Amino acid sequence: MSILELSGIEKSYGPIKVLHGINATVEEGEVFAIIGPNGAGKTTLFKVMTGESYANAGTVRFDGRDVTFEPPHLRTRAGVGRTFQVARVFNPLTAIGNVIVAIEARKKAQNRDDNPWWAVKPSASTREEALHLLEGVSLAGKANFAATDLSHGDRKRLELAITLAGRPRILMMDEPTAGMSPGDREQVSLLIERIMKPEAEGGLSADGRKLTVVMTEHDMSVIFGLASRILVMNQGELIALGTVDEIRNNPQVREVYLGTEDQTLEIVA
Amino acid sequence: MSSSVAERHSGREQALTLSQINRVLFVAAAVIIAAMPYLTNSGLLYLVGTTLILAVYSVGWNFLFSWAGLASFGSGGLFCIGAYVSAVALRAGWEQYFLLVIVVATLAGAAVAFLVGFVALRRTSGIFLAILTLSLAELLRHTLMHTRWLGSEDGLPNITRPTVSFIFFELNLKSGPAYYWFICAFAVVMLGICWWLSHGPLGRRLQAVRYDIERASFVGIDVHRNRLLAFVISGAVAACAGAVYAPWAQIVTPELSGMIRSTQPILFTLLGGLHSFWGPVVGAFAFMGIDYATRTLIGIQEIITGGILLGVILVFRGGIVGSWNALLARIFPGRGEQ
Repeated sequence: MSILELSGIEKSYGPIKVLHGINATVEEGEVFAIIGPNGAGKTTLFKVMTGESYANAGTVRFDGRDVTFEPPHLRTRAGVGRTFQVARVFNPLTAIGNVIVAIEARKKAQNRDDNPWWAVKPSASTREEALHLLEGVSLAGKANFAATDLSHGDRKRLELAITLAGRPRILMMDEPTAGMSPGDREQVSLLIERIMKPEAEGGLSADGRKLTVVMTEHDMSVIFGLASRILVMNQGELIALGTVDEIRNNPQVREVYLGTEDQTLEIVA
Repeated sequence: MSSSVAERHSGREQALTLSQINRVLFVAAAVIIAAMPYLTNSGLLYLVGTTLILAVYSVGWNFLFSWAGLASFGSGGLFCIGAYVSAVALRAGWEQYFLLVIVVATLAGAAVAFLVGFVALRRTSGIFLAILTLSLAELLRHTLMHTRWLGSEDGLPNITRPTVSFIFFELNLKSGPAYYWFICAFAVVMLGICWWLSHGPLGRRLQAVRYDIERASFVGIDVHRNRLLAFVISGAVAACAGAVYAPWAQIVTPELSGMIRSTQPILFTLLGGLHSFWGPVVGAFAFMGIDYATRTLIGIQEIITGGILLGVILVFRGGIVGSWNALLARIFPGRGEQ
């Protein structure tokens, strides 16, 4: 079943048209990657999917529901989780404080607040869940560090924990490995794999849930290792959509990424 | 999160022993304030009572500023609304229902804040919100100055302090000390409510919005709604303070909605300590102290006050509370550990 449906998405920034009618569907449980050269419109498409900016034309459907003009907090409550290219966390808060805010927001939105109305401190179950999530991303040892003091990689992990605290059905990651060393990138790949696995198998996904991942990424080894399907964009248009092998052997994609053979020869000559 | 965010910033709960020192000081200050009618003359008592009211009003403003990250320059307008509601009701002879009058005034402030916030917060923040609120307060001031049944420019004088009637007994607040203790009780209740709001889940949500508005909406927080709520609460506190102020001063004038009243909480907060719950309270009393000490220096009083404020802002960014905690931590190193 498709969890996310894009049809005819168009987006302009002033007179400049950035997206020229994108059509795609994301199936539940898959890892859907969006790639393309710089300026291809990946991040813009991403923003339209998450609700940071709205499409000028076309519709976005999440779980069969039209969410084209739904603001981010409502999409988040419906089950869309999002991480940013440069990790965004609540800097002055502690790591666990960050996750607690996210858990409390979810519980409040679902009317499942387990704290009495007069309580000041977060409930025991909230704290427990927060710690559990931090353990999941290997940050439990730094639970009381201010987020400002965490390293780049740790901040990315913390952001992931915050996002998972919302119990998303679809996880949208904008360049999860941007600015990371090769070793850290591999760690992120492994972490994403773990997130998708059910808890019973040592993963982080709640039992009976199928997490879907949509990501943009520049690192091809990360993409080819994780993705089930890839959407290739160039200059605001979809130029290919298919499995990893299909994309690898697509001549148009090769052209976008490597240039044509003639051009290459010209450069060599 | 044993030391929640606000406390981390104010540094009050940072450590057991240091916070114990602060707690002792706090209790001592509270005892002195409560015993004021036995310690001073009526002139100084009036000043302390007024400062207490303004302290509550400033804490309400700071809830909006340091928690929700919104700067209002028109809080005086809401204070003024509360004061006028209270003045009109008392002059109409509703004095035995004074508590109810305070509630109505508070609701009036909340309602006006809701209307303003509902329209303004969706579109504006930062400097635009500041200017908008400032001009609305000025608009109110000018309207009051031209409203004859509210006394025009002279305002409403001769507001009698009430005798509040409960079913079984009456509370006579006519005398200075009696009303002063009523103000103390009011301050305890309002500061308690504000403390509870800022340190609970709502406070955490608001701070999340202030720290990163986009991240906040992507954890599912309705940014607009929470900011509006903070705006309404802050307005309600201002109006409530105004309602208690009217019978204390026994006169209300359109000047209550002026620039000076609106900038008071800002100055108190800057002097006392930004992002600290108790900062505005400390700032209000420090300001009162400076004002009182320089009251005979006509002409240079403002220069001294301004100079001190400038010095604090440039040198002690954490205000009095922040600097005090830093000083304590330096004098007693190691006591900060729990």
